[in-house]
Amino acid sequence: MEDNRILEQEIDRYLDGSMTREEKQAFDRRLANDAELRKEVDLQQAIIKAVRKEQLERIIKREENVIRKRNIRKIVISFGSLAIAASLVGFFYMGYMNNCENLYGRYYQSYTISEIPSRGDEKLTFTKSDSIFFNALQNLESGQNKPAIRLLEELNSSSTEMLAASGDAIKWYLSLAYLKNGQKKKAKILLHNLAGNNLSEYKSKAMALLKEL
Amino acid sequence: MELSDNEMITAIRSRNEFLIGKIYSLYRSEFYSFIRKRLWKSEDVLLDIYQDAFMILCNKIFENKLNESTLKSSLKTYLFAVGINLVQNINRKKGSLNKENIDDLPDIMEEESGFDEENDRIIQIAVYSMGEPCHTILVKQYWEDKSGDEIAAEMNYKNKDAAKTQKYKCIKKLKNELKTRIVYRS
Repeated sequence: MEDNRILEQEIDRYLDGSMTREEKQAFDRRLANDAELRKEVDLQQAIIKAVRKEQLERIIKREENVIRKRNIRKIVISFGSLAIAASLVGFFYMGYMNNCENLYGRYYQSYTISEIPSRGDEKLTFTKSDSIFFNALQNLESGQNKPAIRLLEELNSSSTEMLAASGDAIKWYLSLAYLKNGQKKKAKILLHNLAGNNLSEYKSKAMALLKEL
Repeated sequence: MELSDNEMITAIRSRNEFLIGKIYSLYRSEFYSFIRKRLWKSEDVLLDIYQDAFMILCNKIFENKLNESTLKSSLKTYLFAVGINLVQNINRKKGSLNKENIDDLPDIMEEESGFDEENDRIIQIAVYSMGEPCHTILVKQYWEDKSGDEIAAEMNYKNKDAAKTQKYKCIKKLKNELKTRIVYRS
């Protein structure tokens, strides 16, 4: 047994490279002539490799887990960032819209005419443009902002005669329609126009609204 | 991680598990795209190839066949060359010898092991399933490079000779078991 133990230690020293050059050369010569010794060395080397392989596999497995978790975290973070960004955009959009709608609600008043216009004794009938104006307001009140805007824009750009509403009234309601639809810039342009007109009946309202905008 | 090739070799040789893990990760994705572009498409097999290549590299360093003075290229190039050899071996076995132009890589021949793949597998399983204290002793001796004194102190043996005797018994038992199961090449 002692001989075998010494041999095994020799093999260990041969395999871990701790033999002197002379010792190694002598051992190589023995190996070349002793098939049994060659088998012992091969087997011991294979056992050592297997022990190391087991440990390397443990390290690799641990590292692969880290990589996998990192990749999952990347996906989650990307998805999370997108979700947060979307939420923020949604949040600001909702806030923006709430602000616009709120202002519209506070400044919008149903348009009324106290009496049917007349020319001398002659009672005048409403024009097509008047009908369009009322239709536009009806659309606006029922939440159909875009059709309302389209009709009011049409009126604002035409110069056809109207009995029911002045050009400033069209501008005022169009600015409110823009506001309700979230189109602040367009609303502001019209409001500045009204605010700059000293003769406009909507001057003070326009100035107040602009202040709030 | 900024380590020179020599520092990486030292880390692997001294079994620095943290750094071995980091070196493994360092070249993983680059190796993937390198091999996938040139030689291999399947993701699953690619992982096996990388892991095998990495283990071969480590073993060469453990056995001092690869060290600071024998390394003629960068460690990364060496690792990639091992990977290419592995892929070509697989292709050879499949009969498709689609040789890629890899002149710029060193030719790394896989050393002839005393055993074939099947025998290696048998030895691996025997080591995995070794009971205690044999498994711990072999790990301390061959992985942690602990001396007889250190093993004796850590495993509560009377002295280093007692630890060495225990290790000898373990190896003997393992070898006897394996000798009945493995087939030597003629």
